[in-house]
Amino acid sequence: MLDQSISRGPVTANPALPAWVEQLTEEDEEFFEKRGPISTTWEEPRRFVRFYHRSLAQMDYLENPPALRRRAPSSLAIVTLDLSREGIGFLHSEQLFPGERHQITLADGVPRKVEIVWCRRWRDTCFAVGSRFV
Amino acid sequence: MPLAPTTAGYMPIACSTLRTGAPLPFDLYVRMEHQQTRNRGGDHFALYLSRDHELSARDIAEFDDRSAGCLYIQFDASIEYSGYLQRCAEAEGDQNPLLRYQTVREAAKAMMLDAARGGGVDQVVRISEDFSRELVKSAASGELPVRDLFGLMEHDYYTFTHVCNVSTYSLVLAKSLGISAPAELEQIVQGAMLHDLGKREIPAAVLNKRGRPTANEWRLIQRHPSDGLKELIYRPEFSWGQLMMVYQHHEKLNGRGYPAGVGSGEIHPWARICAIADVFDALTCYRPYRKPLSTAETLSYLERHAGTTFDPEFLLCWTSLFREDR
Ligand SMILES: [Fe+2]
Ligand SMILES: [Fe+2]
Repeated sequence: MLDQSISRGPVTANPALPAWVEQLTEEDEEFFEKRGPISTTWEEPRRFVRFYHRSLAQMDYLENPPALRRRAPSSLAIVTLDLSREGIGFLHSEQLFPGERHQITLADGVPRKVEIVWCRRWRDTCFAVGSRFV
Repeated sequence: MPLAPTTAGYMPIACSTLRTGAPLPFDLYVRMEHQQTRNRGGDHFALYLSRDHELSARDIAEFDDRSAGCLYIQFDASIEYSGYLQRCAEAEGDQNPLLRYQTVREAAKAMMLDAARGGGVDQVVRISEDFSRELVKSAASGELPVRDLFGLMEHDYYTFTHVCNVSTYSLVLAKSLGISAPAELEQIVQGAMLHDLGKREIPAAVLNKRGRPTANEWRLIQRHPSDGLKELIYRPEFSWGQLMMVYQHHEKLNGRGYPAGVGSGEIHPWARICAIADVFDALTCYRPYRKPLSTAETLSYLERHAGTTFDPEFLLCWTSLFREDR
């Protein structure tokens, strides 16, 4: 299992913090401070416990769907939200699509391949994404 | 795979496809509407006319009255039914584009039923490809007035009839919006044919449930656009518009739809076409928990949601098709 004490890690792709990331702390000063397990609810049962994991990370696009002509660079900054044995939740400036397979690198520097499970608009500026490790 | 309804064993056919003067090569059934049978769960069917009966014009008029335009045959008789339509289409030559359309549609339906009994995604994709090519061809060779087409549809919400209906409505709407290239129309029809592909993952008991789904069931139902997209996203033969028909047909212009909650500027135009066709068919079909709405009631429902759920310009085009036809 990943070490949940990993905090804000270096993002090599985008040294300058994107505006949408800065906005997160403007709206919620403690955004990056949240720690510990996230309780599950009857409405949202989970197989494995999730932990808050608020951190910068890097996403590398590995396998773009053939019909999607993605213009974004192949490496982008993301903000992780939570982490479990099964997968990782994060915020991303781009819409991703269920079934896409890409790579996430957390602060420990280990690249992990994920498959996108869901993606929903979070704010005007970004999307919340659920992914599972593959 | 839940393409087959809980009423396993029977499939709906439109009365308007039956012809007088020739013996029927299959038995005809009607759905029983008794409260008692409803309470027991599941539908019940009674034999209405047995095979070899020669239909009269009076019989057909009576069917329309009694069965709201919809009769049933046994699944096992679907090949006989396809052959019957083929013979009727040949006898009427090229005069009748509606009958030719019906023949194409029945062939697709029979194959979909076959796929439902154990075929995989590849088989469903192949059938949708054949159906879209044939449907666009039959629509090109003669006018298909939407009100006549509406009369031909089986207004019974089984997944396989639903996808045939939605693809036909999508074709009609796309054409009236000015899309005329056959290749593009074929893609739209195929996208509509596959729009509920993800429902294969939903247990039949949930899909055909009478009454409101629980929160968990609702979550399962809401996953179908994502599950459908996941099946197709890396297949190179699909265009982005087709994939978005599968993924975005439950999105709303105001951003309150699912699965992504994206707003008007982010919903692909083909998905907007599919959304209108999808809800139009769902509301005009018989469901275990409610009677079908009339065309007028359905159009006014859609109009009430113009701009918030549905694209107002596309919807105007759709409603005007019915008004022009009157
Ligand atoms: Fe759907
Ligand atoms: Fe549908």
